[in-house]
Amino acid sequence: MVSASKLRRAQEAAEAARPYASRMTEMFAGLALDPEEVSHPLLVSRAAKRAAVVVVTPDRGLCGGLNTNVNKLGWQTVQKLEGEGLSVEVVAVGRKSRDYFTRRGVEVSRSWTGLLASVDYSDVQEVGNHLVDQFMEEKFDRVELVYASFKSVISQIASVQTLLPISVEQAETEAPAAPFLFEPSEEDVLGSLLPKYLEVRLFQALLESAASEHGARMSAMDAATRNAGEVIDKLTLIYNRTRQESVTSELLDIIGGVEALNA
Amino acid sequence: MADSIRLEVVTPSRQVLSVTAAEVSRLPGRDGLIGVLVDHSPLMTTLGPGILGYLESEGGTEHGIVVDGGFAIIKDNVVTVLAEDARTGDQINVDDCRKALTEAEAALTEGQGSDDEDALRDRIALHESCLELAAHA
Repeated sequence: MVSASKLRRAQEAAEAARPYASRMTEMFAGLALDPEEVSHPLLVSRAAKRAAVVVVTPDRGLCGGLNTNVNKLGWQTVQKLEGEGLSVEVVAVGRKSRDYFTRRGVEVSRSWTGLLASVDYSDVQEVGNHLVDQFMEEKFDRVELVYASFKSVISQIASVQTLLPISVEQAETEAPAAPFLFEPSEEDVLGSLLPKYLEVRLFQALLESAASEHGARMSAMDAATRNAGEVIDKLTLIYNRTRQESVTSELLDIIGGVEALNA
Repeated sequence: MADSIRLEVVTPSRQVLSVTAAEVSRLPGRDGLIGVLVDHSPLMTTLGPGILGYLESEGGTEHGIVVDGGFAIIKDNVVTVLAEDARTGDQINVDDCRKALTEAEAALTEGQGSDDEDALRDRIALHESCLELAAHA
């Protein structure tokens, strides 16, 4: 079971990444941002005109309904945003989403492939930087992320979340007991933290997608093997029956011939 | 009053370090080195590339680990370092480091004043720290 070992590795990677992500969320919470006071370009929700949907799928098929489900949710998200009067482009991570949206005539402004094979933080940074740059340049005003969140080997759920603008409420804000000192300053810390926060969320989404891919492929292939077994049984039965029939009819021919000679 | 500090270093891909220390002697803050003693007041800082040093016991030898930028949170005698990458002395390949250092320096002399200058300076500082740590290991 190749997928089984790949799945284990992907799951381990996803688990190893958890401490960083949770610490980062804690830190974000520690900032105890007041939505009224804080201003940073990545936090500002502008009047949205253009939106980007980041769709994360595997590069390859044969993993059950995973690609279809994620792409379908991506498509619904695109339509929903278009319904709100926004012009939408897709940033595709994975060959399957790129091909799907190209076929449907949605503008795929940028695409990456081969990222899920071994999820690397530097690759994620590249995607993150692209999104942050485009957002800062106001190429788009809103970014939605569609990916397969990993629940278990047999359950992967296509999920959507808003990446940008980063909403302050997303981090559970509880007032810290002692206020923090900041070095060099609160703005600087926030300024470097926000893009990282985005990257970490992307990283997690990619790790989960990778785990989902292997999980889905494993159960799909398992089902396929079982199906093939059933088909083989059925075909063997038909084959034997047909052979028996032909043997019987040949025997009847011979017996008939002998009877005719004896008569 | 606590008499030790918990030091945790995590990178996006794994937890690198989780130790109890008497003192974090060197924390490579963006604006200079920070030393952390027990009962430090809560602090959040951005980190530059450099060596993070800590003492496991008072007056003991300093252990080091190279961190490549990130953040540090100091709170309730827990120092959490969120680094982009972190390497202990035995994970450093001196030859690769020297090569990367020479390349970065060459690129810096060539591209003086370009946008990448800060990034290149960071690379140089990182590799220099690696070499320094490897030399002591």
